[in-house]
Amino acid sequence: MIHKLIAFRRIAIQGFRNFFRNAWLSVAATAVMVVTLTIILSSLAINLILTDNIEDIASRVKVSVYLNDGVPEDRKSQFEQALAQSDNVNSVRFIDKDEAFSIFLEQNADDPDIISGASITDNVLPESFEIEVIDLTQIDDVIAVADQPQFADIVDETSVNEQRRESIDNIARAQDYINLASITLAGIFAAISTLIIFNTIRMAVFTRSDEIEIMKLIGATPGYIRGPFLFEAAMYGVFAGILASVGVYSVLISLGPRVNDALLVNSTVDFFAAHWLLIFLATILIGVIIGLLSSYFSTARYLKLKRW
Amino acid sequence: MILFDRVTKVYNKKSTALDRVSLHVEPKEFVIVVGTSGAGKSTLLKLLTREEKPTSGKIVVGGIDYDGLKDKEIPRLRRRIGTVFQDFKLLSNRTVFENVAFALEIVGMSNREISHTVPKVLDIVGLKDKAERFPAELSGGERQRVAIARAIVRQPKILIADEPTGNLDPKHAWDVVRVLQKINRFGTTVLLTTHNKDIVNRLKRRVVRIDEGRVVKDESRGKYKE
Repeated sequence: MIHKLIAFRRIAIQGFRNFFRNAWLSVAATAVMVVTLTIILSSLAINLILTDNIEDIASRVKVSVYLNDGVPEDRKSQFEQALAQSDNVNSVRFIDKDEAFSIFLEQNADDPDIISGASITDNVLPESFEIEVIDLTQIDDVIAVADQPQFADIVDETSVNEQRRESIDNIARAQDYINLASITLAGIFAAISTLIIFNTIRMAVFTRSDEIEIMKLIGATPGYIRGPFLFEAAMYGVFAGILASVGVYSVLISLGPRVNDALLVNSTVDFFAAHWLLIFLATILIGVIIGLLSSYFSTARYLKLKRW
Repeated sequence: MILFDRVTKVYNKKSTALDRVSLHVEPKEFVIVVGTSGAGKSTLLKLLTREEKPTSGKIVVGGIDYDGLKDKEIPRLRRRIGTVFQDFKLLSNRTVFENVAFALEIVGMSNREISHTVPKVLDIVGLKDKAERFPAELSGGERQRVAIARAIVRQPKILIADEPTGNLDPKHAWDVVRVLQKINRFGTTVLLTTHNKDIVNRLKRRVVRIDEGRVVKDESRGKYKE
């Protein structure tokens, strides 16, 4: 046990020394790994930003159910309860005739002809329920509630006509495509950059294959030879993880206020701020794992027992 | 100490490096193996360190029969044999001290023992004051003495030196040979391969001549003959 501890300590010290003695190689390998981790982390941030923005657009798409005039209060609350019970409904809001008129004035504030022609006394606007749905693709579930025969006497019409339905379907499809595309792209970028880092470490090991050969001839075991290489590669991961996570976080913070009018970035910044330790450690962990695997497979070629 | 019994090594059908070589080396002997390039000297030493496996025949070194040797036991075997190479084979990114200490680290020796042992061995090879230098900062002769220090620091019973003077000028070559003689006086069996006629003739030790993979002469106080 003590021998193993001594060996581990020596491996760690040698790996640490090699990292600094092979400075250029370390800088190159760390730089490539920073790019790899930045791509992975940026993909996460972009995915979050796009998801937030699509969700924001989707949340603004609301279904309105217009009521006939003179519907009694108890029938209105029955209908409201029926809507609220649907699994796909996030919120239901009742808009009476006065509020509908206010909204109408607000929406047409730039058109003096319409404003002057409208008057609160002959308000023809109907009462309505404004419904925020959870999943836009399942909007028919909500409409089905309004179309039930028991509410035929109170429902005049729903706001989902064919043109609007098409827009809603497009937004819903965009949301799915963007999610799929960002995950796929993140996967592809991560795979490509992992291959690049693997090759960089493989070249780093190749340049020191003589060193491995010498250690073998002197009588070092495969584990003792491989250890410092693994430690060194893990150090690439640690430094790259720190640089990449600090870099991406800094860009998000500095970019957020500048683009916030065009894009919703704040919630992603908040997400990073709330989970910074987890993201920081996870990025380092990913870097260390990529480094260790690359180094393990790169050294394996020179440590095959049949070549001893 | 070392027994080769009808050992044959064939790399391919056209090239037989060693052909039924039989050789017996006693403990504490100093044996010089001579022969032209390609005669089979290096193959003989590579078989001893298990860099190569024999095609046929038996090899026993220090009581270890190579027939039953598993791959994972090779590092342990190599730790029992000190080896000096013509091209030094030093770890370029480690200092002189670290190169020698490496041989002790891999056997699990404590730092205190290493700090005590390495300077003594560096003193034997005359490099005590160059412990913190890197190999690139040393002359050829000094590098070879570092390699010898690394080979003897574990006090092996056997030291094999493959053309250790091949890359050195006469003065440095003799420095190296003197160190080998000193080690042999301490009781280590030394197996030296060389092309250097002067060294062979002046050492007056057992000389084994190999030609085309066969032992053609084995004299107890041999001389180098062209």
